[in-house]
Amino acid sequence: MTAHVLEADRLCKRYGTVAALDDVSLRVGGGRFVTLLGPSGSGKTTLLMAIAGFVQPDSGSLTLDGAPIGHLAPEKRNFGMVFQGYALFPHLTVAENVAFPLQIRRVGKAETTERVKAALDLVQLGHLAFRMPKQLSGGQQQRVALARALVFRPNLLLLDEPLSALDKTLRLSMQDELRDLHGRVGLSFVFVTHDQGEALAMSDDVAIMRGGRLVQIGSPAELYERPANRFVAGFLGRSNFWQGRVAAQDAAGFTYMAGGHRLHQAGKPPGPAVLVSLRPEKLMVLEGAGGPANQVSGTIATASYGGDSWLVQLDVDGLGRMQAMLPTWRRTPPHMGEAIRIGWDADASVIIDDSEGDTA
Amino acid sequence: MNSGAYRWFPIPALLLLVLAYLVPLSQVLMISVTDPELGLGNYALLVTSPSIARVLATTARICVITATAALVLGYVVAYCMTQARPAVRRLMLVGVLLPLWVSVLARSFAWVTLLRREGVVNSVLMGAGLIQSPLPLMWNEFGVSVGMIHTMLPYAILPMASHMRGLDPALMAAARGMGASRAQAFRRVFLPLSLPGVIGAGVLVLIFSLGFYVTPVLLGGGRVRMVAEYISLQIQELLQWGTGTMLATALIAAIGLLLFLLSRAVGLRALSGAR
Repeated sequence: MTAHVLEADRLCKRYGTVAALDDVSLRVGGGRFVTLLGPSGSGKTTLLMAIAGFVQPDSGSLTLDGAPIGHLAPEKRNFGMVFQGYALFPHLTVAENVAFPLQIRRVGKAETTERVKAALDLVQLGHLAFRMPKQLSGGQQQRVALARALVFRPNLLLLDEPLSALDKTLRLSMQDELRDLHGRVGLSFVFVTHDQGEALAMSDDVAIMRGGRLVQIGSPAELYERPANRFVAGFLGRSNFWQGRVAAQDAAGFTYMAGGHRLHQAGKPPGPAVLVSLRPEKLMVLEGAGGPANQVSGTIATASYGGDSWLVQLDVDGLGRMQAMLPTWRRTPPHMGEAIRIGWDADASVIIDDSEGDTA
Repeated sequence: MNSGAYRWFPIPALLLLVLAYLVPLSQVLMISVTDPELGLGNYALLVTSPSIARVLATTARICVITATAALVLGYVVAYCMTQARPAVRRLMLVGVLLPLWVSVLARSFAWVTLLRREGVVNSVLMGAGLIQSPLPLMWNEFGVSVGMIHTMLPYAILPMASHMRGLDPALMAAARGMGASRAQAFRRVFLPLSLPGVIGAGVLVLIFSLGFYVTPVLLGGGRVRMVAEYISLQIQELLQWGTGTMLATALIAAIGLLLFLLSRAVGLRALSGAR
């Protein structure tokens, strides 16, 4: 199966004075798993609903394989959709729920039976075909919703926070299952979530939204390692930020002054002033001589235990409060008031754009 | 809740119910089998008396017409209320509730001024030249039905609207996302899911209609006799206590049977609106 290509071009949608979608362009195709990630009110659900046809954009265009679909009613778009609360029909059995889209399409009885069985087998629910939705667990209902959204061979599968109603353990196993299913059906998925971990774990591409704008799109690793701006860096995981002024430049990188420290950074400076971002897990605790290019001293303010690591807040002269992840296997527990030396490599920190991403 | 002093709290209400309701009711039952003589003679009238048969048939016919019309008209209103914006919905709710705050007597008289021979409807139609002589709009089953449907509409709309509001709007969206048109989504998803509300409203309207008194008296003008008016006639005018109390007992039994059958059909929980 060749996956269809959906293109959203410069979509705008306003509700009163609020821009729910502000000039959003997105391309989904090639059987990729694309996640729309953002805080509530960021426009991610509006974008999904615009793709599905339940929200009519004020301007912009939507095409599927080059053909415009913006004028089509939801039922004409042939997109599978999984809703937040699953939206299973409570008056129909599991099998009848899955058969619904086929009956609407006037598929013959024998073929319907066969395809419903295949769809239920795909999500390992063949044995529950004659139960009512109410009799199923949350995870099972979720899988019925998936089978129902896939049984009519849609052009695209849209998922609106489908895992948010599940408890954490189940959510993790459904993440794996959904990834696995995505690999088997060869469809492009558009997945909406506000959970950063979920987005990083599941997606081929993550589109980060904020205030109706698409802030950055890329693979999870790209977004995490090279966030475009302060919002992305702060939204995806934790980050330390500080400002600096460029002092000197050479072939390998440049040096800049920040809080009285002379620090080194790989790459080229974008201008005389830079905003630096550093992930807490890239900070090392230094013992003895030698070590990375950048070294500062600080005092531990708080330390919280997280199983695999300690999250330590420390006060660093000139740079202020910084957070560091210290592996728990490495040393005796950090304690308040302890003075430590920390450091990082010149290519561990990144220079980012000092904006929140919601202004052009 | 089932411990401490709380368990005694319903006692006054229970006492009131027993004294003001169950005691007189059991007397009604007693009279129906003892007046004028001991036995089931009064109940035999249900099958032997042509005038009682006529009253029962009229009552059943008007009740079915009223319930059907109130449900169909009410369903449309309830559906619109569910789909409307919150501000519009509140306005519609006030519109539905408003007639309930006006006494049935006043409303029935209002219908008399509209429907009588020289009433508003006939004058307008004749003034417009659409009819030559006044239409017989009241003192017949038509007039009684119109008045009763009007009175019953809120009782039909409110339970249906409350049930419909409990339905997840995502279900309709899901149906459309799977290829169903608006009409298909309505017919295959909304309509079947709204049926328990319709049945609940239907039972309510039927039960209220069965015992209706004021509207049939005023709009029927003595020519359309429903069972409540007939009972009152037996007891107050003809002093036939036996016949009157027998009919009252039969009416209660009929309502009980109706509730029993419907609870078997859809479950009492669905009827009472519990989920």
